[in-house]
Amino acid sequence: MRLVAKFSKEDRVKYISHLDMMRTFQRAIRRATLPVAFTQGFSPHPKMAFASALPVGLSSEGEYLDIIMESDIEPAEFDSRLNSALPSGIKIIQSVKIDPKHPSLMSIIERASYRIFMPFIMEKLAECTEAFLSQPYVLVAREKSDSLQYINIRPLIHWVKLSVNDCSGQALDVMFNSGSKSNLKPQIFADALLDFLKGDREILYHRIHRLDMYFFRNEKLVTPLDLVEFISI
Amino acid sequence: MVMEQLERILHRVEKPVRYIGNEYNMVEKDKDEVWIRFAFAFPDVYEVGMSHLGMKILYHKINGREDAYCERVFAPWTDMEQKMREYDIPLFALETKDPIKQFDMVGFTLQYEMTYTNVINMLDLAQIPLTSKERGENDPLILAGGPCAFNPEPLADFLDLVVLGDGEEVIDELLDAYKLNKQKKGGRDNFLKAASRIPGIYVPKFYEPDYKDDGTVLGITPVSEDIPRLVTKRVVASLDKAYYPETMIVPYMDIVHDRIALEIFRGCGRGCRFCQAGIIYRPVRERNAETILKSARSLIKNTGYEDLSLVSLSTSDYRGFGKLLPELSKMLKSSRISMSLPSMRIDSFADEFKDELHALKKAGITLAPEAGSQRLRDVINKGVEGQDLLDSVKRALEMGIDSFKLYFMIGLPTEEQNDIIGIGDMVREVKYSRNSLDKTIRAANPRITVSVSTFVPKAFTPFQWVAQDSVERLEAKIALLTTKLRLKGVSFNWHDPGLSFIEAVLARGDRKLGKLLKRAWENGCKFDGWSEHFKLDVWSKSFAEAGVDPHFYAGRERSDDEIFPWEHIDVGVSKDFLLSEYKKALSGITTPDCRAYCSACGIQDIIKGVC
Repeated sequence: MRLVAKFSKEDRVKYISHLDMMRTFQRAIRRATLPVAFTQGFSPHPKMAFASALPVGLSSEGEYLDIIMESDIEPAEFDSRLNSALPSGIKIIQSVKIDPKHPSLMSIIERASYRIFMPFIMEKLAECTEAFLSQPYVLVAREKSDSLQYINIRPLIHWVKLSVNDCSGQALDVMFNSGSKSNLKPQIFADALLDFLKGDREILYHRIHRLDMYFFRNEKLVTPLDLVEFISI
Repeated sequence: MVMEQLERILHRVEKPVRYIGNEYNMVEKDKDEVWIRFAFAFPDVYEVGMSHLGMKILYHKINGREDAYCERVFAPWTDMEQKMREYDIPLFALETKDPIKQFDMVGFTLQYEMTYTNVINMLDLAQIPLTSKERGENDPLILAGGPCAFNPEPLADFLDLVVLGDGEEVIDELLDAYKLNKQKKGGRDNFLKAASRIPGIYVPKFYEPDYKDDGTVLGITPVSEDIPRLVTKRVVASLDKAYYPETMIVPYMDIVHDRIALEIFRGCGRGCRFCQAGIIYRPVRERNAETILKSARSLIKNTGYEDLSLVSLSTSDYRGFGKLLPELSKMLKSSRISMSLPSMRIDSFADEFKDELHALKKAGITLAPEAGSQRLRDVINKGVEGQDLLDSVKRALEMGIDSFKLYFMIGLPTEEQNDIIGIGDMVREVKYSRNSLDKTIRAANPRITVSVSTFVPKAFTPFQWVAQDSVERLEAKIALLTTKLRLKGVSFNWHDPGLSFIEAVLARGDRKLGKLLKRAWENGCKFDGWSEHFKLDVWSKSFAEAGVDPHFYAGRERSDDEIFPWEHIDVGVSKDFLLSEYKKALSGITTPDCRAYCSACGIQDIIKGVC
């Protein structure tokens, strides 16, 4: 049996790394004594994977765990048992049963949306952002082993808008390419925007929150939880 | 409040997870509902400190009290320290993020001398006055415990109170006395007076050392009649009845010992003459198999760890294995947990372990012959024969284990060139022992890692009288070993003799070293146990500036009747016994394990009927 679980990573827990997160889930699953399937071999470990690695320092309300169970369990029971064994700050929001043969979440994710808080930026955030986006190219430098490479991130940005869900007026909601084929890290976007606005990266620190992850199905954007529909009816 | 400030710096430091707390099983309490706020301080980085068993025990024991809240604090790594100073963030505890200067007590555990500068640095980062003299009613009390606290004199100026021996035995008495005094608004000095009357509690400022003209100690005397002349360590008589946590904090990050720690006994009866732990943790106290299994069951359930290790000074000496291992391995198998055994002793590495310890195949085996010749092994009372070692290696190879770690020491008393060459010979024999085995069963060519540390004479050991080898001589010995160990499949690493030299100064230091430590810290010394931070030249400069001769402490042989700076502290083992052990060492006479034959070390005088 295969489950996809959507979870959040908030507060201080945002400072733990992807590897730490993996360990944390493995141990929580043990504490919850969930019937998870283990790999074969000398040091067996639970068959589980995340849809995408969340960089250290980012919070999220749209992370996904892809997990194989040894025996059947009701998704609601899975959620409540795992939640009681997870440290505060990590919470399963909902899980669904999916087709065991479906390709891995990691391989299907194409988009991710984020909320970027820029609490020290002037009131005219919307205007400035528009100017930023009207540039035909947004070049950012990427360090290669011994040289600098410039890449254009503009095509990876799908939309940017003032967050309606955040009353401070200092947050942007954004949608970027994400996943194994094409990926834009939100920090790179935020740094590029700050550079464009002549802001000091050291002083104008920003906070970034992932909202959700998506992929295309029948030319429509859906989230991994929508995979539940694929279960044979 | 601190958390908001932290948000500004955490994304700019390495491994921010070190500073966030919030781990599973972290204790949360209402800080306004307790009488005592206690910060357990480990003067090293998070992943080292979180691996320490003593902290796990005391943290949960103190938090078992309704009137106290114990939190944790570690030494921030240098990048974090820099940011904290830049943003004026005082050192805070992980649980509440409150500055530890607001706490009632800050208790440092002293596991290793090279953390002393970190103790001072942490006090400074906490914005707490450094010395006991400078601190007042509104400052926390600064405590210390752990193995190095048995000679606390180098740090005496910085400490208000020192706990000697098993912390879980005395902590309740100490906290009760503190609470009573706080309720009565008795003040700081009143509490310290009361504390000094609790057995096992040493209050440095109530003792005055006097020195002879040659710089050695004339005497250490209490400042008033009501202060005990001798402070005797506290001992948990029965580990089966003593507190052991049913839960442990599960860190997010990969710490040094990231597994369930299951203590199986305390103390060691072997009596290796270089070993301080072997003396200060006497007597040997074993936990029953049933008690251990009960702990294992609850820790597995409450932590979710995938790994477990049995902890003691000499694990394979545990006498209850026959009862423990079958049950334990059943439990581990059903919960898919692997077990690792540290400090395997070569002479008790028996066949019965074979089936239980598959993990050894992967991890390899660690053997500690310590010296390269039988003569020198007899001097240090390492009751191990060279032939036993080779037999163990062969048995391991037959089991398919092909990776070996060999631990040796150099600079041991009476050591000669032949003993060094002997290390090379022994490694060679291990390497070629495979050739005598049946081709069908033997493992691949063994991989051997040889680790050589420098002998550091420590207080309360039979070698507390000896002079440490000079850095120059030690370097020559390492150079000789380098040529002897240039073998295929053998890697050789060694400790920095300069670091061991400073360690030796502090290990047998007196109160005059307080000035030196402060100077070294002012000159930038910290994290001295980390080779990338250890600066011998800065230490040398600090000695000169403080007017302290390091060779007086490290390189001087003491006369039999010298009064030591730790003479007012009683570990239970008598000075006469230690001296007789020293004399026997010089004649190459060994002493049996105290569980086979009692050599009357004196420990029975403080804890009758335990051994």
